Amino acid sequence: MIRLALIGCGRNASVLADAIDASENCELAFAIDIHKQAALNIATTTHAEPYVGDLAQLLQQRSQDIDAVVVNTPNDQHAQHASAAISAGKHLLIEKPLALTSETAGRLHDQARSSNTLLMVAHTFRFMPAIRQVRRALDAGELGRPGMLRIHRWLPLSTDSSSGWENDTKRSGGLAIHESIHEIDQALWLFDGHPNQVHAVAAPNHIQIHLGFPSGAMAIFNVMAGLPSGEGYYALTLIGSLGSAYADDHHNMQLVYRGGRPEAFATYQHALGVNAQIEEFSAAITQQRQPNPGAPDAIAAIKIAEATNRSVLTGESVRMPADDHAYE
Amino acid sequence: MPTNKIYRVLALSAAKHEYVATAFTNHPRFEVVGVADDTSAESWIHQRNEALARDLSVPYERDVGKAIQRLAPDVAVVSSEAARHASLSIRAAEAGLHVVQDKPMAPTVDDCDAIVHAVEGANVHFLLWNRNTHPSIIDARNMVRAGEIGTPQSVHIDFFFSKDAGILIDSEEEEEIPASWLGEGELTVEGIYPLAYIRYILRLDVERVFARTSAHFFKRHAARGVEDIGTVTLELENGAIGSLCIGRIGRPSHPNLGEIRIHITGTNGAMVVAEPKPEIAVHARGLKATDFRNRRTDETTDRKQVDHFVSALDEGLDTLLTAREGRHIAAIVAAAKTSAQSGLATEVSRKTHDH
Repeated sequence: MIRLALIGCGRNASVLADAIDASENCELAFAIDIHKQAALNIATTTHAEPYVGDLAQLLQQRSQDIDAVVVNTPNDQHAQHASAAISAGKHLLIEKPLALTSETAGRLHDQARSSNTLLMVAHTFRFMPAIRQVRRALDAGELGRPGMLRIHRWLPLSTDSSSGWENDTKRSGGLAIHESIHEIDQALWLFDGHPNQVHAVAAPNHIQIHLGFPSGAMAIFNVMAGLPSGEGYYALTLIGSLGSAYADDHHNMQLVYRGGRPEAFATYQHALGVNAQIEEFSAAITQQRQPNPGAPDAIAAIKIAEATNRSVLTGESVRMPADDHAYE
Repeated sequence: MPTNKIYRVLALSAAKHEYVATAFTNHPRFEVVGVADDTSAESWIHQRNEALARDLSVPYERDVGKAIQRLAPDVAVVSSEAARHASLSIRAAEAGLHVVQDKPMAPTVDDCDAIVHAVEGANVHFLLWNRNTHPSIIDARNMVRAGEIGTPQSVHIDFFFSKDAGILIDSEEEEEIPASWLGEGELTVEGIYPLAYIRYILRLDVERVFARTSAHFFKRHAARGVEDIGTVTLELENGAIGSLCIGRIGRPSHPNLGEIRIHITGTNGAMVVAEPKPEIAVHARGLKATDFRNRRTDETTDRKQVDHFVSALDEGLDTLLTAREGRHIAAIVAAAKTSAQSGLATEVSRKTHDH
């Protein structure tokens, strides 16, 4: 049984904790937060030991009781907590983005490599059941050569006090680094390569990224973080030379009639994705292999997010290196 | 002032489509009185024109000038190859006819400018055929105008049509491209529809674009160096942003005509509009692979467009898509094609040049 310490018991922690709880290969040993109540909330539902304080300190005191660390803290603390875990020789599953800059992410990658610890980044969309089906259809050759990826994703504006940092660009990295990194990762994963051109535009709470690939393929996605409240929206279309795949809330919404206009809701996929992600992490540890996605993919995604920000700033497209090694 | 005048319609070429002309056949305020084309048109075009004339039980005249003189039409419906749109529409306008024209407006923005100049100079009405009368588009416009999602901040359109066009690029088969295939890219030909939605629903102009295009599916597109798919980033007035994905994605890609959807975000919310809805699904033995399973229920969209056109004529109002608006859409497409070739973001030419 792999014993995990989860640091960051605010946003998304209960989904992670439930996934760990549901796994036959993992158990949550520690729920760590600087806020006592947050740590207690997670500990109560999972039988983990609550710990209020610093990760590095805990790793010093109780290293023998921890096999791996799950980092779920605000983005600006990722590097600090990742580094502490790696320094203690612990395998690491870290929320996206791996770090706020590709330079820092590269340093963490180097640190993990030299200390022989496994580093996995939570690009969770790869594990969503619908997106996995798209990838399977692609791998099976049903769709032919991928030519166009289109994603729309809208989410509510963060108003929760525990996730207020998300609205602070200095702490979150901004919409490109914090949110659209998911879409960037999906594009790299589904196209199995890196773009040679990035063009982006932005409006309030909204970013749109346009990627061109050396094969002629293209990806375009818009991410909006300004819905008034409630559930988000997601729609993916992948068009290949032989067929297309649609993973799409618009097709998959359920309807409720309670007077007035009908309401629509999406059957929840997120938890299933997080469960599958935990299974991949634990399997990589058990099999002593690199987890997928690892640091190289995460660094590539951050580099493209950085190019996105440059494009928004200058109003011009950014040429990306043709050499895949340049992304490492 | 509303009148009961019956407008006489002359179809100028049916090289491209018959449906624009036939939309006028059952309308009580229009009478299709003939089909005409230039003598120099290719023989396959004359054959199509003759077939349409036979279907409508009207004469076919191989001389546009003579037809206008002899049949005294009020309206010309132009559906030739795009390369002759400007020539036919300008001659019709200069003869004092109102013009209804098929897409694309013209191959170049200069040609579009010439149409604008002719139409405005002759003080006639011009309608660029469009899809803005689909019920979903009208609903979307009404909701946006009512402020239901606040001030629009972005618009993203998926416009995919699941049709084939000959042999796939990956196939080893070869094909002889038929003369009736005019070798135009799909952004060029179809871009009018989604870009017209933006104009109609949001009333915002596109100012700058960045585009990628590719011949991904069909040998004939690759052979002619034109796109079968494309993606366009749009920068609009008032800081709004947008995007367009467009393509002829092949028959097996969708059970229906293809995904045609509009995503709009605003300061107070967002909306997803599916152009084909409402639709019904029909799955039955005996359907061929090429038969659509999902079918639209509203059969009055063309009729609504003609209704609107007659109101514009009667009351001197703008049509649903004027020459000037069509010209701006053509300029967006031209800028997108320039961008796709250069790899650079490109300004949309806004100034209509005098001719």
